[in-house]
Order: sequence, then C-alpha cells, then structure tokens
Amino acid sequence: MNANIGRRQFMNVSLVGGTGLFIGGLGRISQGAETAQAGSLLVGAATTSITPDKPVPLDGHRGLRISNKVESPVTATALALESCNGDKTIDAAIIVSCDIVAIRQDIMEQVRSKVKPRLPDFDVNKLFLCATHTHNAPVTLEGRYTLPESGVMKPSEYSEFMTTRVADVVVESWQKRRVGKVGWAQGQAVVAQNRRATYADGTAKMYGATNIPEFRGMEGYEDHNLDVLFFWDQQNHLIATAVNIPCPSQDAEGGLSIHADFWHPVRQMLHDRYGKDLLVLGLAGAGGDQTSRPQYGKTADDRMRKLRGLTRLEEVARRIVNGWEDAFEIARKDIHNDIILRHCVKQIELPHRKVTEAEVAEAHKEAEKYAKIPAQRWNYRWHQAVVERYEAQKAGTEGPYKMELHVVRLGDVVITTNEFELFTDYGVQMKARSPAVQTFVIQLAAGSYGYLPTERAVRGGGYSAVIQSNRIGPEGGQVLVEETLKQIKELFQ
Amino acid sequence: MKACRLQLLSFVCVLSLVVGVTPSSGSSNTLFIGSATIDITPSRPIALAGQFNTRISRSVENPITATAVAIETRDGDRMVDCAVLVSCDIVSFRPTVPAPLQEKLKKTLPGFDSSKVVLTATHTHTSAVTEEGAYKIPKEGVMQPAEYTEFLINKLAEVIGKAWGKRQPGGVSWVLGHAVVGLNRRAVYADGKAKMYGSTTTNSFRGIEGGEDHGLEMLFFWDKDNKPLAVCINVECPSQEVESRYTINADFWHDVRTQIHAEINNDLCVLGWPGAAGDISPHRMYRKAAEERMLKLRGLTYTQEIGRRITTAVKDVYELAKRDIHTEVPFAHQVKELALPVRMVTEKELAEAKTQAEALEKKGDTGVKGRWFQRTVDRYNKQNKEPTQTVDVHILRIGDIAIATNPFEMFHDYGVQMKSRSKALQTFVIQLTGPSCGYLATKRAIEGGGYSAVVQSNRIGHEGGQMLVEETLKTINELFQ
Repeated sequence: MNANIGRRQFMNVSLVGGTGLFIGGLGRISQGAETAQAGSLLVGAATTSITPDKPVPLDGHRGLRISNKVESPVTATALALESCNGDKTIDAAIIVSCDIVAIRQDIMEQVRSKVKPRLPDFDVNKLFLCATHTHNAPVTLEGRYTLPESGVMKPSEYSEFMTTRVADVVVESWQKRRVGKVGWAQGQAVVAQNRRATYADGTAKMYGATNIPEFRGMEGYEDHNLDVLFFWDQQNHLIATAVNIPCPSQDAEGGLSIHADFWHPVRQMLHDRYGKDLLVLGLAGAGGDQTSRPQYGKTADDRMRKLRGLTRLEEVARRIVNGWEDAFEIARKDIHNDIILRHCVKQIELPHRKVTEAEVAEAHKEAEKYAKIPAQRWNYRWHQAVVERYEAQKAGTEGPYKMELHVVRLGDVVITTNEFELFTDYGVQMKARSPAVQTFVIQLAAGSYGYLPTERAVRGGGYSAVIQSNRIGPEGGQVLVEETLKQIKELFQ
Repeated sequence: MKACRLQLLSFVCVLSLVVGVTPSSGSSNTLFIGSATIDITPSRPIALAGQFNTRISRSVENPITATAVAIETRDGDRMVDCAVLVSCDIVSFRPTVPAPLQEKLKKTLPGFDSSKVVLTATHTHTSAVTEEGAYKIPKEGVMQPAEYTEFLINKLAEVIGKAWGKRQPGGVSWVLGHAVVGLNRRAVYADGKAKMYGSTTTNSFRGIEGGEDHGLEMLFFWDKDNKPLAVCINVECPSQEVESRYTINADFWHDVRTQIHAEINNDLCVLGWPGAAGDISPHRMYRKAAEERMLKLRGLTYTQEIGRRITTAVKDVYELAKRDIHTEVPFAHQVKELALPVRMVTEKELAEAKTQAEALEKKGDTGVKGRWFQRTVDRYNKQNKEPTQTVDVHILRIGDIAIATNPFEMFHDYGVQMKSRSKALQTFVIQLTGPSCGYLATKRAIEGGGYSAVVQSNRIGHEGGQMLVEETLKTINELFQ
C-alpha cells in the first residue's frame, strides 16, 4: 500500500462519520469513524529544524531576552498515522511536537492554511501541534515584549518561518507514510518534581524555599511513569517514537541561547544507540505544577551528576532514555499492524475563572504601575488582561472558552490533548478513569491558554494559581476532565 | 486553651533527652565494619500481623530474615562511637522485643552499649505477631506470639553478636539512586475527604493527596580490600505488596535480596529500610491495567518487578559508590528521647469510638478492630494526665550523610521537610524503628480523614509531627556544625 491509496475514501468517511462542529471560521472539526474498525496502519514521520538564523526574542520569561547563540537546534517532528481497510482510509492523525514554549494564537491556523492546499485530501483538523515548553525558543506572538527596532527577527517573521517549516514537515510525514507497525509500553523515569512548596500558613509558592522552618511539603503529586509509543516499518526498523512525560522541558530555562532543553540530549542518546534516523516526539504530559529541577536534595543530586560526569540536561535525558529502553524491551514483544485508529476532534466549552473585585483592584493597581515602562510590557499585559477580563465578565460578553480537544485512540492506548499548563492532578484523574490501557495526556497542544490549577492550588495561591495566570479555573478544569473522559469512553465503546 | 498548648509545647521541648552522648562528630576516625544476616522464619504455623483479621500462616513462600551491620569508629585502639543497624522482616516492633533484646545483649555482649542498636521493621504484613492478646489465636498447632517473640529475640541477639564480632577495618560510601516503588495511597475527593486505597475511578476523585519520593538513599559498606560487605537501601515504601496472604513472606525485600545476590554479589548483606511512608504503599492507585500488562509481558510478579526496579537502581550506582569509598569519616550516633504531645481525642471522636467498640462487642467481635476503638476511649480517659508520649529516635552522622529514625508510619511530607532542611548531603529517614507508635499524619491528612489519619490510628498528631521534625533537624544540624 502506498501513500496515494485511500485519500478520496478518507475524505468521505470523515464527512459521513463526523457529527462535526465548527471552530471560529476554520472549518469542520471532525470526529473519527463511528465504528471501532481495525485497519492496516500506515506510518510516516519527518523532522525539521525550526532554529532561526538571526537573533530572536526568547519566550517564557517576564523579562526580554534576545538570543545570542544556538546551543542546540530547536526542531519540529511530525508523526502521520492513517488506518486503512483495503484501499479505504478509516481515520488519520498528524501529531507535531515542536521545541517551543507554547502553540500561541494563530500558529495552528497558519500551519493548517499552509498544509491544506498541499494535502487536499487530508482533513487538516486532524492535525495538531504540541509544545515541549522549552523556554529557550523564539517568541511567536507580537506585543508580548517591547523589542528593539532592528537586529532582531520579529515574532511575526519567525512565525512565518516556523509555520512554513512545520507545514513542510507535516506534508513530508504524510507523503512518506507506509504500512507500519506500532507498539506501546510504560516505563519509569524520575524526572518531574512538583514545584509548588506549601507553608504553615496554608500558602503555596512556585519554586518556593524548602529549607525554611515554615515549609510543610510539596503541594501535589508527581507522575514518574513514562508512556511510550514505538513505530516500525515493514522491515522492522524502528522509525519513530513518541514519549509522554508529565514534565515540561525547561530545566535549563533562562540564559540567552536557543536550545531544546532536555529533549536535545534525549534525541542524541537515542540516535547514538538506535540510529540517527529514529524520530523522537517529545510530548509534555500534565505538568503545570512540575519541573525537572529538584526542589530539595539538590546537593546530593549535583554530587551524583559530578560522579557520572553529566550535565543536568544529560542526567534528565539519561533517566528518560533508561525508562524508554525499559519500555522498548517490552513493546517489541507486542507489535501491532491491524489496529483501531480513531481520531475525534471536538470543540469543548470551558467556563472562565471569575475575576473577583479584590483581584481586579489589585490587577488594576499593578497594571497602572507598569503601563508606561516599556521594559515591563510583559508584566503590564499580565495584569491588564485581568482588568479586561473583568470588564467582559461584567458586561456579560466573556462567554465560555472554546477549546480544541483531540482524542486519538490507537489500539489499546489513547492520546488526549489540552491547551493548558495542566496541573498533574487533572492528568491523574484522566488516566485513572480512562478505559484505555495507557492514556497519553498532552498539554500545550493545539493552542495555549495558560495554567490550569486545581482547587487546592488556587487556595494556596502562587504564580501559577493566581487569577493573572489562570483564564480557566478548577471548575473549568473539571469540565475538561469530564469532556475528555466522555470522548475517550466513546472511542472505546 | 491556646495558652495551655503553648505551655505544653515548651514543657515537651525541655523533656527531650539525649540518651547516648557522643563526642564531637566533626573529626574523622577509622571505621570498622561487620555484617551478618540470619533466618527468622518460624518452623511452625504462626499468626500473621498487620491486618484486622486473624491469619494463620499456611506455608513459607520465602524466608523472613534479619540483617545487621555493625559500625565502630576508633581513634587508635579506643572506641569513639558505634552503632548496630538492624533490618528485620516484621510488621513493626511491639514493646515485647526492643527492651528485652537490650537486656539480653547486656549479657551476650558485655561492654557493648545496647542502646546503640537501631532496630527497624520492613513492615512486611506476612510475618509474625509478637504480642499476646492482639489476635484470637488457636492454642493448638500454632506457635504462640510469646514463643515466637523469644525465638526472635534470640535470633536478633545472635545476628547482632555476629555482626559485632566480625567487624574489621572497612569503608563506607553513600550514593543516591532512583526507583519508582512507593505510591501515595490516599485518594482525595470533591468533598475534601480522603481515603486510604480509595477508588480513583469514581467521578468525585480529584487526585492523590501527597507526593512520593522515588530517590533511593544507599549506603555501601566495604572490607579493607574494597569487597562489598553490605548495602543499606532506604526506600520510601513499606514492604506490603502481598500483605493479605496467609503465608510467611518477606514481601519485595526477598526479591530485592535474591536479585542483588544474583546480579551483584551473592554474599552481600542487604538491609531494607523503609523511608517516611505512612501514606505510601507499593499498591497501584491507577494505571493498573498498564502495570498488569507490563508484568505479563515480562513474566514477573509485582514483588519481582519491585525487586527488578530496586536492583537496577543499585546496579546503576554501584560503580560510582565503589569509586568513592571512605575509611576514615566523622561518625556520631545519638539516641534521643522525645516527649511528643499526644493527639487529643475530642468528645465527638470519643463518642464515635465508644459506639463502634460497643457495637463490635455486641456482635461478638473481640478482634483487633474492637481494641482499635477501645484504645481511643482509654486514651481519652488519661490524656489530660498524660499529655505526652515518649519516643526514641536515633540520629547518626556517617561522613556526609545523616540517618534519622522514628517509630512511626510517618507521612511522606515530614520526610521531605527533614531532607530539605538537613545540612547533610543525604538524609536517610527511617520509619518504624524501635517500638511502633502508629501513623503520624500531616495536618492536611487529618483534615481529609481516612484510616491512617483518624484519631484511632494516630497517637501523635500533626503538632507532634512538627516537633519531631524540628528536634530531628536540630540534632542532625548540630552533628554537621
């Protein structure tokens, strides 16, 4: 079977099978085929550099940082999946992992609009991008920082470059797809560390001190399991792997270099051991309250790294690769070709977190403080947005947030997305209640809408759980969980 | 009332006593090490401890053991300080064992300070009952608790004597590894309640109450030729995977030992130390289907899988440990008596305990659960006269690391506090050491409730927990000044 087979049929199935919705003028949002029909799996994968060749503003921090070197390339890696029954397409998905802080506004639309004319028989709504969350990649949204007039690649220019590259890699992965095989397994890697310290007075603080008498413990859970998908070609060559870790890749955040954080050494180590053609998709799990940096026991951790002669990024990568290899040993015992692939794309409505009088008063005061200081553009926007939300809330024009949800069933596993820095508890709820053998939860996918904290986090406060950081609150978080599970359960009926 | 409590806290601090006074820990002295292990498996059926119901062992699935490492530092021929670290496959130490063992050691090891024995239970629930009256046990065909206890004390004295007698010039190294073993077992729900082993598949499930520490603190001991003698592995998890069986079983520590012997060194003594794990167990709270599939594909039981994870972590650091052996280190061992405030039984809790105890008695249930409630009634009656409970803790400095013990099933958060505020490079927090004092829950756990955080299970509450943290840290940090 080759890439040309079944395109027309796929289009038909998608339109007939879907009771689709519309997202803001972008067209039909598709659901997977109604029947849980196994089909022959086609797999394609491709990767590209999205490293800019000029200095760029770096995303993720309050202060402006302009890159002055490239420490490691930032990349986009695409995985194209299609299931076929004879020459008929049953369903499809293209997943792109990008070394970037978030899939900001308009990025999905730009990529889809570039892909659509080049792949007329592929439903571009079945494509989604997700961010690894490296804080050393370019800004893609204008207006976040006050930038120098010259000598810097502007966000819009970078976005144009990046989305063109991503569209290319999407097309390439789709066109390269061939009959392939898939396996899945679970490993362990102690990477994610809860980054919210709690104190005797009930407050919490992101990256708060843990060596003071008031410290009482870390706020929440850490998930040290690793969900992994493996893809082989017909000749049993491992061609791609998708690794889901409930931790953002921002270990080495800060500084002025462009780099892909821990995913770079992960890729390097896997290339050294399994060949440079192996494509690695880093998928960030529910890790809004997580970091890979130890929050206590740092001196012991440092000593062990020194004894091993590794940098922090290399140590994180070593743990991930060890967990990956542990999973690989098992996955290769249970390889599938005829498999159910169903991809549901749905728009779900999430209630916004309500801004209180006290919160808007505080935000107003802070916004005024920063309004006329260009270097404080980020802080100004962070507070001013709360004021604007409050006004919309008061005027009754805010409405719910319409989030694009992808749920992909692949055999016994399911992949589900959200647009947030999602607190781990929500991921645990999804995994615990999902009927799938393994549930891949991918945050920062198909959009970006801030932190999504739990109720206990909101009670504790701190950067990631205050109103400025949360457009959606615990109430919306619970709706996200329920809607996600509803879709997962439908795919497993 | 607040003022009374403050006065009480000051009073408690004054009562903390150093039992084993040691010289300054800063100077390095020559290490002498000995190690030994002994089988403590009974030859007849016994009652098994750890559940509410009576279980009589039907077979021995694998041996239960006790392992000892003796450490002495010398300045020339003069002993500077010492410790004998003992890990034992038992659910916990009841008062029937530590004190009689100390008395016995005075006879079998004259001149040895028996207060320097650090006696830790691995918490296997498939090991012997060591107190009379805890369960209704058939008189015929079953080794009675008193008989097993005597047997155990003899065996412990023997293994301590052997380890002490075998000590020779040696070295120590400390390393940190990782293994995902202990899992937080308290599910929390939309109404704010928590439940130990609560369902995570219901709509009202909101998450897991606390964290887990998957760091493995390890101490390796070596002979003068750098051959490994023993490894102490501090895992934040009690060994109770097969806890409900009617067999004798050392739980996952058997698999750890078997695999370490097969893959590293057959003569290596392995001490299993449970970390701060009152809210932790090896049981899966979610991802059960994935774990089951992985086990089937590997062809392993879950205790073997835990053994595999821990052994992999030990192998991962073994060569690093071997490269950094210390033969002269600062060493100090303090044994402290702490008087901790008891958790006060409220009127409401008293009423509930009375009702439950009476209901169980009416049903003819005279088992552990009835006594669990009755003890709460008894505590209420004496809590104003006896507002504190004395517990022993051992604090050791060995080179750059600290060891801090406690007699509780201590919640993870307290261990994190100790580790994060300790001046030691690594801090080994070891629970269930010495006579057991029940669960030590955190404030948030008490607010959530559930078996391990209700008054029946907590003789000491979160105020006492915080005091334990502060006193432990005070001593550790003094040893590292």
